[in-house]
Amino acid sequence: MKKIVVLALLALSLGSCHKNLVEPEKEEISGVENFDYVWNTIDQKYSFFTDKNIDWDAIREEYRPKARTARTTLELFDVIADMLFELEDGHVNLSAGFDLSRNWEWYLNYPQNFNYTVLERNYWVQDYQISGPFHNAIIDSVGYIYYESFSDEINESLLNYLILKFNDRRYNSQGIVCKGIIIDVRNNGGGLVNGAELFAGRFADKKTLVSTRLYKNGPGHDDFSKPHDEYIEPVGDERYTKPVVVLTNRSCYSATNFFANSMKHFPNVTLMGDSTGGGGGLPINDEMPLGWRFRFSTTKSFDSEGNNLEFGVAPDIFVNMDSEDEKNGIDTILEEALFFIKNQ
Amino acid sequence: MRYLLVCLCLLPFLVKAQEDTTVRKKSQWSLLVGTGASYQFARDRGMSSLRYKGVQTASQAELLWIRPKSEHRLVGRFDYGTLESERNGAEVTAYRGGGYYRFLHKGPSFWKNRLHLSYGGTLDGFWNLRYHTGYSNNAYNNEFYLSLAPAAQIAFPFRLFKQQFTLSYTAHLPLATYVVRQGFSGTYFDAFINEEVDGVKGALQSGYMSGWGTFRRYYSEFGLEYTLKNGNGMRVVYTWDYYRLNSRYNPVEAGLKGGLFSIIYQF
Repeated sequence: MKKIVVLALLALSLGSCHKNLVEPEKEEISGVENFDYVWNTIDQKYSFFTDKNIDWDAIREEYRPKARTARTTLELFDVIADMLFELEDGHVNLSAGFDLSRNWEWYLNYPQNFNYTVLERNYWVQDYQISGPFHNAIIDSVGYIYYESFSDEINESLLNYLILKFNDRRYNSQGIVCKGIIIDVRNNGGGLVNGAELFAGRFADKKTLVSTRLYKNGPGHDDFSKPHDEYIEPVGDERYTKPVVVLTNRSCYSATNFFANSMKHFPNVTLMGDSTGGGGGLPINDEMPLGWRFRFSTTKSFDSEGNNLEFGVAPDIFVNMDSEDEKNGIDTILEEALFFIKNQ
Repeated sequence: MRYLLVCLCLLPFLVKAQEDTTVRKKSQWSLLVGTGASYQFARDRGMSSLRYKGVQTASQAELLWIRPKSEHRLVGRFDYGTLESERNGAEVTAYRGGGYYRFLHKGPSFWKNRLHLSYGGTLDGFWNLRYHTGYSNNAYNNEFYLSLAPAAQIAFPFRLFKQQFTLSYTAHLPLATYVVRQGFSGTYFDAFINEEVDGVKGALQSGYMSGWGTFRRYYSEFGLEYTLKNGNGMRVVYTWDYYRLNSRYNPVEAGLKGGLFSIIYQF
């Protein structure tokens, strides 16, 4: 018995000298191997095949032969990028040093409904400040905040300040209490979901169920976890429960989409403008054997009425920018919001 | 800090022996404090298809209780460093914390009583966090393993230049392991959904038992110990540690080899 133990220990000790504990990637990896890695990963982990009625096997049949015959890495990139384009998802990208594939049809096929120059020159005038990531002003007795990206970190004390500025006459140069606030998130492409929750919490009067999220938990296209309830709770020292209008357009995506949905659930908030672009899945990253990185959605979320947030959040009041107004320096959607609040 | 390290290294020589003998007492307690470096290779398919590797700093503390017929060792260890992919240069910050309790019963001796075999078991647990610096929602990749493993050791005590040394080789192979890996397609744990169970408890509840077929680990260490007459001493250890989780989806394999220099304080 002791000989067996000694021999086993000797064998283990010899094994310990093995040079590579974990084998490195092969020097030569074919285009098809890389294609298959992406196709298989997406097949197992992507969350919207059923919702978008996508035949992923047919897509493989179409693009795999092209990956086999791709002569250069540029051609291979285009083949995989074209395959990913079929998912019609702004959260899906292929990233190599020389290019980033994307599907931006969620806003390119729609009116822009936003003109930064018009805002900057004609509306951001009175009490205009740039407080961290927030452009803010008082327009015709109504508070106004423009928030460009949820990637910009939100500071709690800044939110306190902004609410005080619009709600306490001591904090603005006009010495007024605003009739309401317009939060302009048009062209905000998203960022940190936590930031969206933090911001929305300032306008919540009570803990509110705003969505349910399902996580992909198995390789089948319909393998999902049980629903995870997402709540927004009142947050911060200063909160605002007077009339609020949130301005949206098709370029509102991802975290901004979640923000718009959350805000829509509060009784004092009205969404105005165009539908958001969507982006209801939380994306994750992966890396191909070739080293390129790709990203895709692995969850899906529904609002409290069961609407799939991947397809955007509809406004309470649809308003499109009038091109004649725009030429004259007028933001039609903002004007509608001002009128709406002043007549509350 | 430098003086503190020098003092720590010299301490074993300065401490006066209670007994001027190398004869083992009935029960002997020692504290070992060590530092060193390790080289880790890892491929976590839940995170990437690429292999990451890099140097980490290592620190370890051990409590050792030696009895005439057995040895009990309680070890805690922490490794930290940056791993890099050779393929695309991406970086992962790696944290690894763990420890084990090992019991060894003194077995037979052979080769003219020079080689001593001990055998017993180990309860071993370790946690890995790999933070991918280029990712967003799945940047944090956690895993935890708790294993029961048979263990064995061959020790070869010898004298050189009138000094006492012991060369040893120790290994353990887990047979049953409790595996905790995050969700199939992200960095959440199943128990976190709707916060039925939160925190560490929730993570632990998301695990499952695994046998040798699914979780394989080879843990071995070569050690050279230099013992002073007062029972204090120094030890140099080369560790070789490899594991592979052969799950159908998101398998992970990682290996770690490294050296550790420890000071032994007998008390």
